[in-house]
Amino acid sequence: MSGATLELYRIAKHFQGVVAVDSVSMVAEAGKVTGLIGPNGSGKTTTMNIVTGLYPTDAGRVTIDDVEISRLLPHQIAALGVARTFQNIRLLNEQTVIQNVMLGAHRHHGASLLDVILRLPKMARSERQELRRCDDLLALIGIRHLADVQVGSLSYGDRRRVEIARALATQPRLLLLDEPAAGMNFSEKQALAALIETIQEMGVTVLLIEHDIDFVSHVTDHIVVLNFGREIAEGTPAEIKQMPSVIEAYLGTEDA
Amino acid sequence: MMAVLDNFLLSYGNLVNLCLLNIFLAYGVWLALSVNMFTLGTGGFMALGAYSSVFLTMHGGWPFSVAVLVGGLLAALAALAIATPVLRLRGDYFMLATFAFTEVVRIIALNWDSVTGGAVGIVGIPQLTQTWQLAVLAAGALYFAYAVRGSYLGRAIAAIREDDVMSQAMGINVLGYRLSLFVSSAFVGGIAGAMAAHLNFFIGPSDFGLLRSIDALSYPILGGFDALLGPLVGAILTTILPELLRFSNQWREILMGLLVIGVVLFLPGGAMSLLSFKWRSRHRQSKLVLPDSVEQGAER
Amino acid sequence: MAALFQQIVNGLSIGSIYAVFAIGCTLIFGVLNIINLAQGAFLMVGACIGLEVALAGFPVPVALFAAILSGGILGALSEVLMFQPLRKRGGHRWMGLVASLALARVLVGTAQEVFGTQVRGYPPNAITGLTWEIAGVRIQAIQVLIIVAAVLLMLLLAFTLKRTSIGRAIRTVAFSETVAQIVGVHVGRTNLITFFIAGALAGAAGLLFGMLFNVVSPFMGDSALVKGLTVIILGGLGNIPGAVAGGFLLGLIEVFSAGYVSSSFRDAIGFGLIFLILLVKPTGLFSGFEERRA
Repeated sequence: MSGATLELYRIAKHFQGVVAVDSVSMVAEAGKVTGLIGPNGSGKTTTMNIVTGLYPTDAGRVTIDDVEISRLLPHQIAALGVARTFQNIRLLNEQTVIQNVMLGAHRHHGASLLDVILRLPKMARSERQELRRCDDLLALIGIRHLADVQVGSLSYGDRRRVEIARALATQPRLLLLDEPAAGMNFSEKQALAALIETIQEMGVTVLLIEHDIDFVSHVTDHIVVLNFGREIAEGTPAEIKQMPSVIEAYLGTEDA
Repeated sequence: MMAVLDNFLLSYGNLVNLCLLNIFLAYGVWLALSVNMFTLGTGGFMALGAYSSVFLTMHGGWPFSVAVLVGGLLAALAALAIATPVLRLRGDYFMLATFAFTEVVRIIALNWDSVTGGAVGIVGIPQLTQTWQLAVLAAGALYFAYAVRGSYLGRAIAAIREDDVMSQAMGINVLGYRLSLFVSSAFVGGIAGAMAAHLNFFIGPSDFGLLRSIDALSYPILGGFDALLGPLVGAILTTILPELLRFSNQWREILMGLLVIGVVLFLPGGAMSLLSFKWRSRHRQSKLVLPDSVEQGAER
Repeated sequence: MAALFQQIVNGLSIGSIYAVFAIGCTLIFGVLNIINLAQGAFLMVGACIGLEVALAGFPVPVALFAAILSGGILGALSEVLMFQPLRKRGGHRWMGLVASLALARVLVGTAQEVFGTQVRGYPPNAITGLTWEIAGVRIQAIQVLIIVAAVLLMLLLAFTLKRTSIGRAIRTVAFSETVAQIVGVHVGRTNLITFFIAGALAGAAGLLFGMLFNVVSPFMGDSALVKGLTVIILGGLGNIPGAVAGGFLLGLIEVFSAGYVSSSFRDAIGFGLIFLILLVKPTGLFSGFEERRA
């Protein structure tokens, strides 16, 4: 996996008069971890949803490695190597960890419908291959021992890790994490930070939406700050923390 | 004495045919249901298959198998034609649109006297359908369901059913799956309609209305949607029970209705959930054998 | 010109019945978010019981009351015995639909058993034969009565929904069940009353329908259901003013198209309409009035 460069140019989105995103332009450089922060309602998740194709942008464009993806459907964007996690963790709770992660490997299955129906060796081979890959991913993330456990019975932190494993199973070039640290305690956050670093070492570009400035500062190379649907600042974590506009944006909303 | 025996075998044999036909149909409907498409279009698709195949065999002298295939293809084409707008509709609206489709087909059949015989229908249909053909179709459908369920396609379908937004994010072409399953379901309906027509000597518009769609829909739901054999069990029970209750037309309706309500209220997993307690818990535990001792893939 | 007015009167009288029935259907959808496919059967039962009462010699208002009561009780019972337990248990929404279909089946079977499968009609009396002729337009007294009765029922319902506390409760639950609970509305009881009202409207529509066409049979519920579904799609699921407008509209469309198109294709027009509307504007023609859900 080698990372892709994500570029947003003047994207916008409003819903029936409510402006969720006014105008956002930013770059997430290949192989780097970029943070997208801002107070509640600043347009972070909407921006992410535009990138993944859930909503079409009202204006501007989104490009990945200079290829425009603004008009593509979500599954087409995913096929280009864009993976994501969800703010409220969308896993299949009735199924096991490995079953959930295997879902991420969906687009890599080489078997066609005919292979499936006739149970040709290609299907079993493809299945074994993906199973092995997912197993390795589970080991990498440290949840291999939970492979056959039903997801619904796991802790919040573990479920978060399963979701990340599933996203990695798609073999992405760009990984979007939507508030992955929400609801985590300190040690969980540390583990998550280490995991993000590992992912970066794999060469994947990471775009991290977060609320927690401290967490983001430790993990990212570059931060973009949103407020009221516009980017108000960007720079390294150290620079961002000093900027008066950022401090002002966060002062009014003392987050948990 | 021989007459009594003959009569008995005659009606018994027909029951077997009906069961096999409905099993085939049940899996067809299950295809659509598996991605939350509560389709009431089965009646309409069956009608298309029935009338077109009968037209070909009776007026065109076409061979039976080709006529049946054409029936299925016509139904599939119709599904394709209405798919673009209809598939965009969510849950209830989708159901209502397929319901409207079935009724439109029924009304056309009711009025297009020259082709469909109108309200009187068509009589004298050559009884070309044979039990072994129905058995092959039923077995084929069952195998198809089994094959898909145990594969990555089955996993994708289950994911779509539970969370289609997330599925899209995984690269699953939800609309594509929905379209394929809808058209396949229609294809099965068309073939089933053609087979049914050549089983019965007579067809009329009322054979393929809302009631037929509802019955077909109830097979997988009552039998147990999650179980592989669910549609089969549902089809058999729903076909046989009314025959057992033949003594009174009215009471048959009443008892069948009460039975369905009973199953829905007390057996949410369908009839199969009665049998499957052990089966289910066993499958929950030992899932996938990880690559250290690679024997199987991800069987569900 | 006279012919035009004739058609309009015909269309309005049929349409008013459709409107009454459709209001019941759409009320259930708006409040409980389910399509109760047994409403047609409730209509049929109302018609049958109303006929029995009329045949027993009671005046029409009493028959109407009986129809309303029987429909309402059926509706309430179905909620208590079936729909509520299903909702409590959770699970798929199909179950409710399948159950409502099964309930319709039970009711039709029972009606056949009790009343026989024959089509029956009202005995001729002073009113049925009465027609007036105004400027070349023949208006049957029955039609006027039906329109008046239907409008009265609709006004009664409107009053209930807007001015009474139970009406407010229903509207709150329709808006959002969560909000209703927070505000202190007893959701279970409100749902029960909603089902009663919807069933009552169906029963009333059944009696009116039976009187207008002088046809009462255990099978009348099926086509009624189809009309009801058409209207609520026209008007928008859950949209009561839309159901009223849609009902009258469908009545007029049917009558006018029967004049110009073969009457047996008339039904197809209804369905063609459903199709078109679902494709173009699934929320119905009148969705401007719709209340937003929380």
